[in-house]
Amino acid sequence: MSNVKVEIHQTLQNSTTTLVEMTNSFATTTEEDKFLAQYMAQLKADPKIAELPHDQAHPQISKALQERVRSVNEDTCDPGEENSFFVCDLNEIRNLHKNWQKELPRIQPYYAVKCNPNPLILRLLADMGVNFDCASKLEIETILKLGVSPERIIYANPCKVSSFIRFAAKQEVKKSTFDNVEELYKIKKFHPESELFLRIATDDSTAQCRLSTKYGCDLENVDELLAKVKELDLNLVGVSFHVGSGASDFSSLYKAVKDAKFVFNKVVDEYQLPKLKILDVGGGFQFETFAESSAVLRMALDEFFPEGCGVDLIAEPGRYFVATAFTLAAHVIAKRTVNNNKEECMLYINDGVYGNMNCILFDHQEPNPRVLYHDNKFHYEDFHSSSPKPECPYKVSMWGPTCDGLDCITKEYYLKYDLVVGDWLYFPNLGAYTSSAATPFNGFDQTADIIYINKEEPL
Amino acid sequence: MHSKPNLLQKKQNAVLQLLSTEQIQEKLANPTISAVSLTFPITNLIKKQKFDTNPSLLSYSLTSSGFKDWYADIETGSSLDLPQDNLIQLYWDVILIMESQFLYDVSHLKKFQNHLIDTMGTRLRYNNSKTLRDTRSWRGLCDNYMMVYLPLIFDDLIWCKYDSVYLHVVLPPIESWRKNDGKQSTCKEWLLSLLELSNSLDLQYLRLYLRRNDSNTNDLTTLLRNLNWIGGRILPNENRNELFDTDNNDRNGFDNLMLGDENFVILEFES
Repeated sequence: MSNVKVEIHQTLQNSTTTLVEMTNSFATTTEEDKFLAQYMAQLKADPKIAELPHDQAHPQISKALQERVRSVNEDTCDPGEENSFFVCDLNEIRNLHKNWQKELPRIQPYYAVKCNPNPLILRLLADMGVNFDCASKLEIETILKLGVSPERIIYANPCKVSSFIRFAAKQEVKKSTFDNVEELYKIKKFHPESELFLRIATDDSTAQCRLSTKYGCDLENVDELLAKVKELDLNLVGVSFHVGSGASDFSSLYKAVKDAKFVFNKVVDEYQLPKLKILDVGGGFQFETFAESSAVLRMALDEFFPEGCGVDLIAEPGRYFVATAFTLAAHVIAKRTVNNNKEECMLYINDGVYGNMNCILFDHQEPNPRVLYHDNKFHYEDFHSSSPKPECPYKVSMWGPTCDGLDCITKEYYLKYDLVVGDWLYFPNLGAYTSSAATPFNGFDQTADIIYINKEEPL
Repeated sequence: MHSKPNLLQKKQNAVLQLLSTEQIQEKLANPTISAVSLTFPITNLIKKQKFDTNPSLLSYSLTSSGFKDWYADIETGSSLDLPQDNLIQLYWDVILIMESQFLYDVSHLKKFQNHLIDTMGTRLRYNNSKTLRDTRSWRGLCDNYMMVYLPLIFDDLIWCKYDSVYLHVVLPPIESWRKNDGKQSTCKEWLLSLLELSNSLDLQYLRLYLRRNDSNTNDLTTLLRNLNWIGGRILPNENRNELFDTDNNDRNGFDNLMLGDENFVILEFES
């Protein structure tokens, strides 16, 4: 790995210094891509990279799920009357934070509140020293009510209405991203004291949730924004980017850091603006790929923003901190056999995209249903109780409780058991962009209970 | 069968015709103006009023501050300059068009129109302007109705209504969306303009009604996939079974049976 890194260094040192020049130099770009690909391949081949940061607390999760299901089954509830519920392992969040500090010690995380605004999670993160990325007035209010200082908030909604900017000014939330001239004018009028981050577009083509497609300024348009910042005498403090969520190729992180460095240099060299102080490396981090993404990021930062360079580093992780902390349990409320085939059916469960699984629609998540309870037995530990491929005998499509065609959890999945009404399923790692839709925003009731485990563990 | 849908189309054409005044056309021809809206309170439906019952004209254009914003067009003022009877007809047409967006079967438009007049009459009789209303559901009649024209994005008018908290906006069908030549930014543009409109009306939430059949198209898919990111959320459609269980007097019965939101994906944004 280190050999590849050295080679990349040498290549880059020999290459042109600015991205604009590089993009004009096909040969150089290709050479860089080649070395990056080599680095990535070597990284992926490293067995340590494939290791998960830590084991999840399966025995405790299983116990909590079983206790709840038993209590439901022992009650007089009819099938369908009992709501789905979450088990949330607070210790998982502590472990994830420890892992963040281990892998990316130089980067201060700003948790993306929109990912899961659960108050207990927010409190825990705040107590651990995590800061917050807010996208709405409600999120800012929620964080401030926790007693968190506005200095620990970055306001990063890419679709800024004037009222939002006025609200941020009133609440003394200064850090904010921008990617177009019109936003700069709004900020000048309503919040001229803002500490601004220029959001640059990145290559997010391998991400499941592509953000730069719509948000972020292309490098060729950076000059216009920097000139306007100077003209309006605004306080530009940094650069931000976001490679999108669920990326499979983390070389985009390297390129984005390099592009950011290009802007850092341009600010001083061409616009004589004060030296930028903060780099925001965005989000898109996930439990399963964290070792790989953080390795690439460390490599890029060591090269372009080495320790002692006077630039603070921040990030906007969301799902990394919550996805694996939540397990959703739901039960079968109806079943319909398909084509008179006993081994193929439609299962209807008491949760769906309008409840706790709108991540299916809007976050490209594909929840993995596993059998929790069938035939008076619990099957949590049997991680082969289901498969997306025909490795299990019973083919199902799975639907939420509404009669809406969008309310489809999976069109095709295979289960080990022939589930019936009243049986339970569980969906691991379902904490990101799930319960946020079901929290009591605007008077809508929360639709699922949350059972917290490891609540009292010391920080 | 096709004559009834045409009635609604006729109403829409009539509205467009009435809006084709020289002043409004002049405004739309102004390249700095990105959108216009006409809004009126339902109290304008009451005949023989002494005060001006013209709708208020708002323009969305680049301000001297350097960004686009909505502002009331004081200069144009009574923009339509129509006899009061024609104005009232216009208002009824706008209300009918907006409310009929949720009508399952437009062949019942005439019956729905009579029902609407009846319901609106009741509302006007008991209207208390001092009471702030919070009409979350599209089902409730509102105190104000509005047409928005975003000519760079949509060919058709956008129909809206609002009280004191929510701006309900029914987006036109995808056929009337202008081709954006591959530009990705249009979604942000129209959303921002509607959010700013909601904000300028001092409302707290924007509710967008997108036709479900259109939700697979590129523009709307982009919007839906970025929903979390831009601070929006999807709202569940109403549970019609619950509605059938409630007291079913004649008026509610008509509302419940003939109207529904199943054909829409409903999104909500803070404004």
